[in-house]
Amino acid sequence: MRLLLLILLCLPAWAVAKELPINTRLGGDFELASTVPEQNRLSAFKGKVVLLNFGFTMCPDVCPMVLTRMSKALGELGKDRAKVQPLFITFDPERDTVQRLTEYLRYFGEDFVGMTGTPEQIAQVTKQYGVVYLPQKSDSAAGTMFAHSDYIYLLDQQGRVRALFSTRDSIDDMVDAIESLL
Amino acid sequence: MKRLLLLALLLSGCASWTQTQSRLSVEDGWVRLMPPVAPNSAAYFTLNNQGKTAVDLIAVESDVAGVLELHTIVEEGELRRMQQLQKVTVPAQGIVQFKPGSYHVMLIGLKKPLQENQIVPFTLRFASGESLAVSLPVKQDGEGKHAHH
Ligand SMILES: [Cu+2]
Repeated sequence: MRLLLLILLCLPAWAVAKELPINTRLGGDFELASTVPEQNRLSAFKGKVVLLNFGFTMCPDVCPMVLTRMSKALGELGKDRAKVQPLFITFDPERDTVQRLTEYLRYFGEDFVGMTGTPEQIAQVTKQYGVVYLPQKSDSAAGTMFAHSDYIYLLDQQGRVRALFSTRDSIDDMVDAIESLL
Repeated sequence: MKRLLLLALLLSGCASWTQTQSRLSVEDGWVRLMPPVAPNSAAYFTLNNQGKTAVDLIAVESDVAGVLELHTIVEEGELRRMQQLQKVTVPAQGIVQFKPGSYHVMLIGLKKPLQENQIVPFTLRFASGESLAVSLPVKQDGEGKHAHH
């Protein structure tokens, strides 16, 4: 059963018909501390397509790779980029403050918005989106790292989840899926 | 004649891979440019072993960060977990690719933020006692198509 779920989750967006299905299992509005104070909830982006990703700034490999993929996909959109909002939510609120997220995300694009919150708020929003993150104890000098899922969520203009992208999906497939909503 | 030419081409290719005459060489290497606020980064490369026996990479050294560790990413269902490794074995006449989402040299505690196109010197140390000096450029993304920022 779990395997089936996994296979379904991993289906690339383009494998589905042109019209992206609405994922009714995941999603929903949330309110968090934001790098742009007036944009502190998902519904603040109503009317825009949202690319949403969860991660943490101490992450040296997977998170910057996924954010770079988001940045690349946005870069392919040309004029339509303004219709798409990149959003990053940390699941490491103890270390990732609003200030830290501001400095971190600027590097991936001026339009990236970051959100953080209390551990309880983060637990709630990650649950809504089916994000898994587990702090790892290890001997590594890196300190606390997280084992985590790393999907990019494509949300439509009403904030509904329309696709999940894994790192196996190509940038072109992501761009096609985004454009299908514009 | 054709064969000789091919051999010459191959040889000249090999020579440019590495600064040493060693059986070990590194190609396509890069270090991830990170936002200045991020304390950690990662280095990637293809490690090539032309020798007839396997080699174990056991450490990587560089002055740019407090600690360097060998890591890989383990996939467990939907989860990706970073795992520290004591060694990475390169098979005889084989390669190991260090790349995003897989093997990487983790740079922990950068002494100062890396700059784009900065060249970072590393020393790779092997269980055999061999070592290999390599210099890798700092890039935003070593995987083609540039991100816009
Ligand atoms: Cu690592």
